Amino acid sequence: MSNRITSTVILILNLVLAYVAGVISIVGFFTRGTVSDWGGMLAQWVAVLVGFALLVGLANLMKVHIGRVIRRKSDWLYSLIVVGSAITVLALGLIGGSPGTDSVAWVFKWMYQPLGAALFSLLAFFLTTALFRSLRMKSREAAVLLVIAGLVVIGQAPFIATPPLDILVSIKDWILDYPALAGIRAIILGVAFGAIGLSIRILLGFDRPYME
Amino acid sequence: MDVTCLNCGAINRNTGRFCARCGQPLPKIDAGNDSSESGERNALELPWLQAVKDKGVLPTTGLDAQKAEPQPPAAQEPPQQQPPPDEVQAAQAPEQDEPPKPAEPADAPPPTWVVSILEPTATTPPPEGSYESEELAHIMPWVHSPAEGEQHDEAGEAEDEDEVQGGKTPGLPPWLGDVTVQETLQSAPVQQSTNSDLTDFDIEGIEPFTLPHGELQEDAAPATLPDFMRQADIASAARQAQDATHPTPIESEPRPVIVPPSDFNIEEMVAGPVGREIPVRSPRPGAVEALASLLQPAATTETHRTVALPGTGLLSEMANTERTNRRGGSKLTRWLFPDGLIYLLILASLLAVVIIKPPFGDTSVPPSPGVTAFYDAIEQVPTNMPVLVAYDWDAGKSAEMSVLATAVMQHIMQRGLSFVTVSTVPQGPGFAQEITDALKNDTTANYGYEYGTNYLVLGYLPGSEAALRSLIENFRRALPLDYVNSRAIDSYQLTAGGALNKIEDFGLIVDLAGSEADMRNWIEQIAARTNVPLVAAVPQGLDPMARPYLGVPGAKLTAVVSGAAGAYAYVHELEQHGHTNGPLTRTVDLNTRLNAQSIAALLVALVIAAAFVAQGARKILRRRA
Repeated sequence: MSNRITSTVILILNLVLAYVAGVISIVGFFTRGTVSDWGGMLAQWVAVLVGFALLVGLANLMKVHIGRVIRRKSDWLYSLIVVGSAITVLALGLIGGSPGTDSVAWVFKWMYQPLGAALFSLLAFFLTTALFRSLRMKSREAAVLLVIAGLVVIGQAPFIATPPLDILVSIKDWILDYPALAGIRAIILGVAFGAIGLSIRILLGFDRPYME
Repeated sequence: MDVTCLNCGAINRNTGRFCARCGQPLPKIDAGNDSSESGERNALELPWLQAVKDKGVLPTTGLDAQKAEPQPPAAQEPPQQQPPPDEVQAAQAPEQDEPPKPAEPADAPPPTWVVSILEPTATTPPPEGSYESEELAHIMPWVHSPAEGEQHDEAGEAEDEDEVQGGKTPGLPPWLGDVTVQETLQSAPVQQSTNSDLTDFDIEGIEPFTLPHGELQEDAAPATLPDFMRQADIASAARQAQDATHPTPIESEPRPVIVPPSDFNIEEMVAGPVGREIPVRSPRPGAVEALASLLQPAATTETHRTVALPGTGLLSEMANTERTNRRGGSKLTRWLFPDGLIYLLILASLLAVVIIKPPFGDTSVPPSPGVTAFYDAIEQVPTNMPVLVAYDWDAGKSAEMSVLATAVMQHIMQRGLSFVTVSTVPQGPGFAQEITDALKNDTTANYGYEYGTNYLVLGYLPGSEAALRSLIENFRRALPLDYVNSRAIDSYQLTAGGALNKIEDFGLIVDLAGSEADMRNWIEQIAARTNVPLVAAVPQGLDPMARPYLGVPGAKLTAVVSGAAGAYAYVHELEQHGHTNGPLTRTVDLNTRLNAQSIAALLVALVIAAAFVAQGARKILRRRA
């Protein structure tokens, strides 16, 4: 019986906390003064919590991969590289006294940045084959999509700006300014309405994601 | 089945592990649980369900819906393979002695959908308010089989797909019945897998979902398997016990059915690998597909189907085999069409850009109103007000964003404006430091900027929207330390004495955003709530996402520049106004970059055209054949 009362109290407490925090944030968004300051303070708490979540994520990453290395699981060499890289960069930052020290900047400029760009550039191969395959789905929608995509891509190419090909630039601009803009605005509005509905449900306690 | 929380008494769904009210762990329901076990046994007692299972293990000649009419049992089929219902019920007799499930008595009539499966020809009176058949045909035309006629008049594409798949599956909508990979693999007889028609399957490269190796045994919880699947386990395990060399799942010869020993340990065998084989009959149109075929991959023999239980890699293996069978030719040929050819085209384009220098000449980017507005926005910033620059992109976008950021920062430094950089992306501060250092150290331009005096690189601000909101109220409380030296920002001359407290102390916000969410956060959380104007520089792919906010009074987004072409136009704008001493105009060959972009655009257009040509040629050849 006491457990039931305790859980009910906890539930009510959670609901009240969520409701109060949500109302402060909403009211603070539209006002200036005390409530807005409270909203800003809550927002700063979020930043602090996210920072701690990143730390927890790092700790979890290290734990998982160190465990893989110790147990010599499959592909443990990759785990070793992950652990080694993380420890090296962390040590460089700690020794240098800041994340912007020269050694960290060197790693960022000459290791992380080229690797990230190279990884992203692989998308060129997959996207191009995906273009080809999308038409093989034999739907008219795919065909229309590809024609529009081709027009926009060609219209954005720099060499197309010279006459008489510049008509494609006008076509591209028309597509982006009217059909695409209308669609994107509709999507943005739809997402916003959905977010409002979801927020109201959470504020009123119908949905309680913070308790899962 | 609901689960009652032992702590607070709340009723929860059995899919959760914790109570939705109090958060305490819920009691587990496993195979050893008496209630669940008896529930499963009681479920077996339902005569209609037992009849479904009986139909599901009858011999078959394949899964093709066109061949799915009732057929006599195979001659070699042992009699014990399809026991009469009486025997089945007798075999279940000990279980029937247990108390029946109160929610559904054993003599309860089967649901309508089961009746329609067991007796496809039986017609039931339509319930109140239901549609007439003509109305239903208009609303859901896919419920009619192709034999009814209307769809045959439709042109080309649907017919082509029907040829490949052996006819539409009545009862399933087109989006489920036509192109579902798994169903296609299941319903394709093995004879067709070597047929040339299957080369046009149009689903190459798509594989059914399978769990990775290593998770199979962990995830295949025996308690979650229904009893009719456990029968499959028994048969397969017994066969494996007799034949140490387990054959591949796809066979061309019928396989004898092994009756499991009576003392067989079900749970022990279910805990093993979960690819099992049981004999089944071919389905009636729309019948067994709805009950069992989604669980069972390709029927490749006369009398057997291979059943993939949850957590198996069998589907993937079979899909690979199917693909290999239907795509003839050598390994090189298979690689070359179409993927290899496209890869070679991309490689050739890259080499052409690097080596040959394609003869596009000097690019003439047309004047863009966005570039002019962006330039004017920076020109209008008072010299005594700093600029807030947001570096919100990662390494994947650096090809476009680095030149854009350099062009914008070059303009800011040429004007002599002080600035502060922040980032809501973890990699952002690194880029900010790199670009500002490069500009500061440019001896030719000699901007004379000093860190801490003229500019500051603040670090990563986690928390996206909430973090941005905190910037409005108190800038220095949200970002108390800088990124380069990890010192309090009050210790720098630029911010000493409370010179920068809040967002409105800045004259302009420049958002160098690599994603739509980053840009939207700045618009919604900062620009919409302050009077500080906002300009954005984004990758070219993000330009359509920025346009909806452009010119909207509440959004305060006054200008957008996008892509390498935007950077090129911006540099031209700078040069037209006499700002010619920047490093971007001297060292970065934007013309070469834009030529590369032109090549890429041409390549994409070529691939699209090739796809249309290939599709048309295939259709013509197929019609002639």
